[in-house]
Parts: sequence; structure tokens; C-alpha cells
Amino acid sequence: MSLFFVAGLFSATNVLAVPGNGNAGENREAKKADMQQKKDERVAEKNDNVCEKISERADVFGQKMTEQENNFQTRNQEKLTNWTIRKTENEAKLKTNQANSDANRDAQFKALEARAQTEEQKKSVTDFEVKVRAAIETRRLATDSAIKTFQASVQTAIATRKGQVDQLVSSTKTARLALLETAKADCAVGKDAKTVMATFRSGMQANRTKTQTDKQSVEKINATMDALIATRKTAIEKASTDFKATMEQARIELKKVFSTDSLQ
Amino acid sequence: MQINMKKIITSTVFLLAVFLLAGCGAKDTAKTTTVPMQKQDNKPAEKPIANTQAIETPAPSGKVDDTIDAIINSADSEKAQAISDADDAKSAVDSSEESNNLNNSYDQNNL
Repeated sequence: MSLFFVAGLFSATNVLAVPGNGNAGENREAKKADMQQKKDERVAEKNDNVCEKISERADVFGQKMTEQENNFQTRNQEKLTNWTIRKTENEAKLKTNQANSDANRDAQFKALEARAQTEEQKKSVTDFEVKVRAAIETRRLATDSAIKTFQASVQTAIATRKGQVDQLVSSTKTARLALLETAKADCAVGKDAKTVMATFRSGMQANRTKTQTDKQSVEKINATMDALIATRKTAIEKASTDFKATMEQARIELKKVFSTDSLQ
Repeated sequence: MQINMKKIITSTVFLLAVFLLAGCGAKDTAKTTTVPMQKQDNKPAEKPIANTQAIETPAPSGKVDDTIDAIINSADSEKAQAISDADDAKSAVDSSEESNNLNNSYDQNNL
């Protein structure tokens, strides 16, 4: 009885187990396929999101770069205008300063003439005045020449800088937009979003490094400006030093003639 | 008599209180009036103006030294004016601000 029961149980288990084993395998396969499909869907969705984002950002980025280009142009124009105003103001102030100097010098000459008593003193005062006028003329010509050379060089430097900055902005914009277009195209052909982003980011990094290097090249103009400023200063200092030397010589000569004068 | 004394003390205390309160009020007023003055002190400093004024020279004395010193001083003033625009020229060609903005214009973390 018990043997029959065990045998019956065994056969029943077999009957149940055979179709059961087949179902489990199919279920596993179906589950696996389902999971794969879901994974593929998630990847595709993520790709779509990234691609959509890239497309949106490309438009925003294009607008941003155009805005920046316009800002550059405005800023450049402002700087040029400011410099032109400042240069004109400085020229006007220098003229006023020279006119004041001339008025002061003429007053000094008159006072000196009034003190000259002897013929020798009168003649030496006249000679002194001629010498001073000539020295002032020489100094002012040298100063004006240095200023004109400086201003022309600044104008050239401004134009050079504008060209360099325009080139820098333009090449940066072109390169960055190209990176975005490549990313968009890669997305369109269904490349993996991670790969698309990695390519884009490394391209951007390379672009930033290049922009940094180009920027340093543009900024070399600051050293050029320092040199121009120094050159002008040296020229004007020399004119001033030469003028002072002439004045000191004139002082010695005048003092010889006015040596007996207590108001020396 | 006691009532009168009480009235006197009460009115004295009341007057003292009024006086003290008025004093405090005056202090408060003083405090409020100092605030705008402090604000005035916080005005942004004006941009320094370049030395463009002619150097003041003493009235002509006719002395040799005074005459020559006055002429030399005038020349120094002209020289200072002639080179006073150096900083403006430098800032006219300086593009570091713009190029910095350019490199910071795009944050790759936006993507």
C-alpha cells in the first residue's frame, strides 16, 4: 500500500514537474527579454533626453555667443570713445597749461627787464629771453612729437587688439558651435549618450585651453603699451632735462651780470 | 498739610519723569540725525583727477633765481600734463576682462 502510494506520488511529481520545468525556463527567458527591453528603452529615453538637451542648449549657446560678440563690439567702441575723449581733454589741458606758462614767463621777463639797469644787464636779459624762448620751443616740439608718436601707436594698438579679440571670439564661437553640431549629429545617428557627452566635454576642454593660450597672446599688447608709455616718458623726460640744463646755464650767465646786484 | 506735601512730591516726581523722558527722546533724536550723516560718509570716493592745474608760481620778483625757478616749475607742470593719460591709454587696449568673460561664457555643466 505504502509502495503504491510512494510510486503514485513520484509519478504525479513527474507529471507535474516536466511541464513545470519548461515553463520556468521560458519565464526566465521572457523576463530577461523584458528586462533587456526596458533597459533599452531607458537608454533610448536617456539618449533622447540628452540629445534634446544638446539641441536646446546649442540654440541658447549660439544666442549667448552672439550676445557676447555684441558686448565685445560695444565695449571696444566705448574704450575707443573714452580714449578719444581723454586724449582730446589732455591736449586741451596741455595747451591751457602752456598758455599759463607763457603768461607767467612773460611776467617774469618783465620783472627782470625792470631790474636791468646797465646796458650789459639789459643785453643779457634780452639774450636770456631769446635763449629761454628757443629752449621752450625745442622742449615743446620734442614733447609734441613724443605725444603724437605715442597717440598713433595707441591707435594702432587699439586696432590690433580689436582684430585679435574679434578673431579670438570668432574662432571660439565657431569651434564651440561645431562641437555642439557634432554632438547633435552623433545623437541623431543613435550614438550612446555617454559617448556623445564625453566627446563633447573633452572637445570643450581642449577649446578652453586653446582660448586661454590665444587670450595670453592677445594680452601681450599690455606689455607693448607699457613699452610705449615708457618710450614717451623717456622722450619727454629728456626734453625736460635738456631744458633744465639750458636754464641752469642761463642762471650762471645771468648771475655773472647781476653779480653786484643785491637782488641776485 | 500732609496732603499738600504728597501733592508736591507727586508733582515733583512727575515733572522729573517728564524731564527724563524728554531727555531720552532728545537722545533718540540725536541718534536718528547721525544716521544720514554716516550714510553721507559712505559716498563712493570720487575718481582722482590728474594733476592738470598749472603750478602756482609766486609773483615775479625780478630776481634771477626766482625767474629761472618759476620757468622750470612751469616746464615741470607741462611735463606732468603731457604724460598724465598713460593709464587711460592702457585701459583703452586692455581686453583681459572681455577675454576672461569669453572663457567663462560657457559652463559645460549646463549639459
